[in-house]
Amino acid sequence: MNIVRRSTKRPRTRLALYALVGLLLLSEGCSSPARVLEPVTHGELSFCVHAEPKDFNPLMASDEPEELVKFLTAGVLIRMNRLTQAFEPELAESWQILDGGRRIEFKLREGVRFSDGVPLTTDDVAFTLRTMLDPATHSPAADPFRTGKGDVTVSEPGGRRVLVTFPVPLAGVERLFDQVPITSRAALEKSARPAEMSVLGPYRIAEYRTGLYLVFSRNPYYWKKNSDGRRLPYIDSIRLFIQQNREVELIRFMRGEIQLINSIDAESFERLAAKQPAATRDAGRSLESEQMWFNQVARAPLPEYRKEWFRSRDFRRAISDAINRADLARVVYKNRAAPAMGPLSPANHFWFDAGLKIPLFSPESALRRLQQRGFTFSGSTLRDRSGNAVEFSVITNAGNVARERMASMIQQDLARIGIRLNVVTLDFGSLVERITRTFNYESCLLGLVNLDLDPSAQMNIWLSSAGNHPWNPGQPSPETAWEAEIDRLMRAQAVEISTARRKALFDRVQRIVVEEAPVLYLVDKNALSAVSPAIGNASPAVLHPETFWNIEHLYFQGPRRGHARQ
Amino acid sequence: MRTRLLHRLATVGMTVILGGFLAATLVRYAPGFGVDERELDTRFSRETIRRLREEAGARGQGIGSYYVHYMARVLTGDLGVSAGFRRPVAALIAERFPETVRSAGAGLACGWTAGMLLALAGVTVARREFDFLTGAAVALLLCIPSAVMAFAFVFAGTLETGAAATIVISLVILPRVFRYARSILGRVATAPHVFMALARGNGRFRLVWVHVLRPAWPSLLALLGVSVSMALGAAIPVEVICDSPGLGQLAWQAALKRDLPLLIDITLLISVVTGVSGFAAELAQTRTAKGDSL
Amino acid sequence: MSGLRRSAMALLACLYLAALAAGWLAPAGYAGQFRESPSAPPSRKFLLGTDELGRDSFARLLYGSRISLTLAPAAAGLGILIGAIAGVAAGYLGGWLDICLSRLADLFLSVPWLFLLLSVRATLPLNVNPLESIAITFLLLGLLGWAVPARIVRAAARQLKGEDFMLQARARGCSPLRMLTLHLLPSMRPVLAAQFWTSIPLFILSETNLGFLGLGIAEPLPSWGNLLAGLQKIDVVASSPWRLAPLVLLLLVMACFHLIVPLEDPSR
Repeated sequence: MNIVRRSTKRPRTRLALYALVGLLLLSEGCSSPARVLEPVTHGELSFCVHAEPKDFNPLMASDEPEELVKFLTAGVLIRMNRLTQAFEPELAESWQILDGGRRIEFKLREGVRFSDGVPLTTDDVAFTLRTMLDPATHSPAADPFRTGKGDVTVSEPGGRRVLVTFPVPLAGVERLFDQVPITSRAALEKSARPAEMSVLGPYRIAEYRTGLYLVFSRNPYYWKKNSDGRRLPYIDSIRLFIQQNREVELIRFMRGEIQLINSIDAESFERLAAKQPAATRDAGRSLESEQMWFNQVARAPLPEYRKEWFRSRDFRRAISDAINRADLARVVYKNRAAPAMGPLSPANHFWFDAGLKIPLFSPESALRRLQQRGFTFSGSTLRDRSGNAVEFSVITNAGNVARERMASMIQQDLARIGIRLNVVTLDFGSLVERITRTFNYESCLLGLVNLDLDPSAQMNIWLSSAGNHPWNPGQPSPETAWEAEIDRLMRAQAVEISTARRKALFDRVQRIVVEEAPVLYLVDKNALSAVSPAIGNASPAVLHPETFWNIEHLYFQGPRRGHARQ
Repeated sequence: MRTRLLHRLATVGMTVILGGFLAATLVRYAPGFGVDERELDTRFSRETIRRLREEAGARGQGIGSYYVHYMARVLTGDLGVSAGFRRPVAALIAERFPETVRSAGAGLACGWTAGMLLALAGVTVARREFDFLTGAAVALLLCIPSAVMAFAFVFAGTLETGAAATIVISLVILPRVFRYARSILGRVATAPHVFMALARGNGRFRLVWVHVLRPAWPSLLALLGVSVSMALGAAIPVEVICDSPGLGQLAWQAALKRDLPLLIDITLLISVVTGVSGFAAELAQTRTAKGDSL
Repeated sequence: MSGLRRSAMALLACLYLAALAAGWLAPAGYAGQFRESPSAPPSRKFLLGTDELGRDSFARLLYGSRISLTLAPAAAGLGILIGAIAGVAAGYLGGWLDICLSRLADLFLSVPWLFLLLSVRATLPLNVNPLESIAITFLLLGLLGWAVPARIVRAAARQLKGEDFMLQARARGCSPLRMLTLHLLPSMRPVLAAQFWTSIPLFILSETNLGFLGLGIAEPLPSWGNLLAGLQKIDVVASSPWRLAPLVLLLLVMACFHLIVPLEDPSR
């Protein structure tokens, strides 16, 4: 749309008019350099969140809905571009890593204001970091900062700079700040009244109806502008429906009531692709994988002979060999997944060990391994050295159709080598209780969602003492030599500043995991999403949030919603 | 009469208290209680996970003393704070109760009306073909899962109207009311007094209304009391699917999260509603029977 | 016995026999996965097509009939039996027994018994036979489902207590037990039959809802409950109408029960 309308007035009059307009623009520019032309796009973008946000304090965000609200409303110092996976300046116009990774200094962008017009200062940044790091706050974002003995300190050296000092050098420190929402004391005091909170992100909460929806309106003081100098975001408002049921979400998308589905399962994706092919987006392999592991906890209430099976590397490798991963990817995920090669997905371009291969599918090889360990296959039953029939259970969460189907397929695969697998679906609370507290389970089939590319984000998985070490959590000291080696390698890479050396260390971790097979990696899922063709500039990524990581740049296409230039 | 009323209210009150305690015990000792899904969040350190467990564990220690303190607070109007939603339970229930009253209440009324009308029509028409057709239609409604019915309405685009939940609940109530009412009315329709009324020349309408429905009413009222529980039970999956922010949706989420304070309060509320509706139905039964005997 | 009733009994008998003979009628079995043919349409090889894992849907329907046609009516019968005993005792005898049983029924209608089901499931070994597990679940459902029939039977018993035939029986010197078993209960057959008839699909469908909490039948065993859960994908069902087969079969069974179990007073 042209800003200046065509005029039919006489040339001299037209010239005078142009001069007047020019003078006016010049005077405006001098008095208020931040003021820009209003965006031309109007309209409301709608999509769904699957649970009610429990807390609007951005420092306490831990669940999906809270993270989503945080992404839409909060400003961060550094943001990882979800597409290029490079770090970009946001509220900080630049940063420096000093002292071998022990310190990071940020220089704040000038002229940034909260949504209530109050300028952002270094005090706000320091306040946010100190509050987050305060143990009394219990902020989920703080744990990754606590890497060694000693406190993380925050200081303000002046000149719009904030300095963060760690007790030990921290590799990949920038990634931590992508998750830290900068806020102010005044804003936090209003977290119980989210519509009154001032924010630094592209949107602020305008309305919240419990159980129904949240409405976000544009932040009138948002600092980001497009290349034409137009203030972002383009879209006026966002309506976030609170919708638990994924089937209903899909129906609503098909009817045009919502324009995005951030993450959609393969079966629904195919159904949607049959009806609205232009709306489906497959961004390729994601960072999410499905995996199965055996309970190796010594004090687990299981028969000793079964514990012996699960602790045997050959047994685990045999099970791995017997599982047809290609079939899992093809049948359960409709070819929208691929057999997993190891703990990382190839979507993690830099950190994935390219030397890993797709695991072999060979029931014959599986039987050979087992026979070498004294197992015998007679009739249709596999027995161990003591004559016990090989039978065990796998637990997974009820209601997850894909996992239930995978378990059923694995059951069939193992039946070919005489192993009886009992599939037990449990509600999530019961399942978590078994795998984290009572350890009353034999094997578990679950998924892993990697929100972060950096291997240091997985410390709580790989360290044998960690609470999320799947097969044997919370070990006072590593019970096996290979777990001790993994501990050593992970601690070494966490403080290694050279990226190449870190890569070598973490590659070794990946190879040990594949060799010892404490976890069987089954499939790497594709990042599937749905975006209405009415939305322009959508480029779904594999990193969360897949479809709206560039929310401020999304716009509506077509005359119904108005249009805008990028 | 007053003594009976007080006596009845006292027994309802005791049932409510016992129901709350039973619910608390079941939730407290069910698997998954005190487990926080955030324990699987790989960002959290061991210390944070330990703190999450301590917080969760503190909620359920000593169920007896917990319940006594809880009831003491309830009597002062404090219904506690939901562990899952982190908001006062009173506020949550106040927000959601009207929605359920609307959908379940309207669904109950529609289901009852439709069921009774069909049953009366069956007795009036008194033809096997009619009975077969209505029986088949009702059987179809019984066989279709309420979740599927709810999805069908969502698919058809009635989500925004809010009528979807009401319609589905009425379709859940209708077959049960119809089957029971049809059998009761059918039995009364073969009573000797009905034949006598027919012989005296009473019209069909008067026959059914005065000589069949009125004597059957006390038995039908018993179903009314039970229907309230059925409607509340049907509301749970229907509200979850139809996206209706009522008590049913709240109860489902509370069950998944093992939200002890919220579940106790919802149980207390349902106990009160069940007890009062049963009492009201009995009272109506007694009055109707007395009226008839006069 | 009417022709229609005989036909219904014959059809029901055929269904039960077909379920028992599933091994011959569907040699592929309910668990065999033909992974090259997932979600296939009906054909000569697969009469009702295949499911998402390439399993023969016809076989799963037949095998599922064994479980659903046995356990659901059994659970419904158990609930109604307990409900009838409690309702008749409360309605006929009255007094403190009536008060206690009525309040107990209210309690059973209010308390979230779901957690009891979860607790019982948690106590069972993980490697329990899936059939045993689902049978225990249905047994519990039956034991817990007595409250609704009890309240209805109680109301009916209170009304029938004052009927002429009951007064005559008492005048003839019938003992209370004889009056209950020979006079009162038979008169309540229509009420009990209506309850039984409406409860069967309720129990079959409850297995669908319980599946979301891990209380349903374990893989690879089929049941009508988990087959009916697939109907939630309305658009898929619209394009693949053969997926309605479990619903059609359930309707057929319901129609047979409806015709076999008299809902009207036999004295009519």
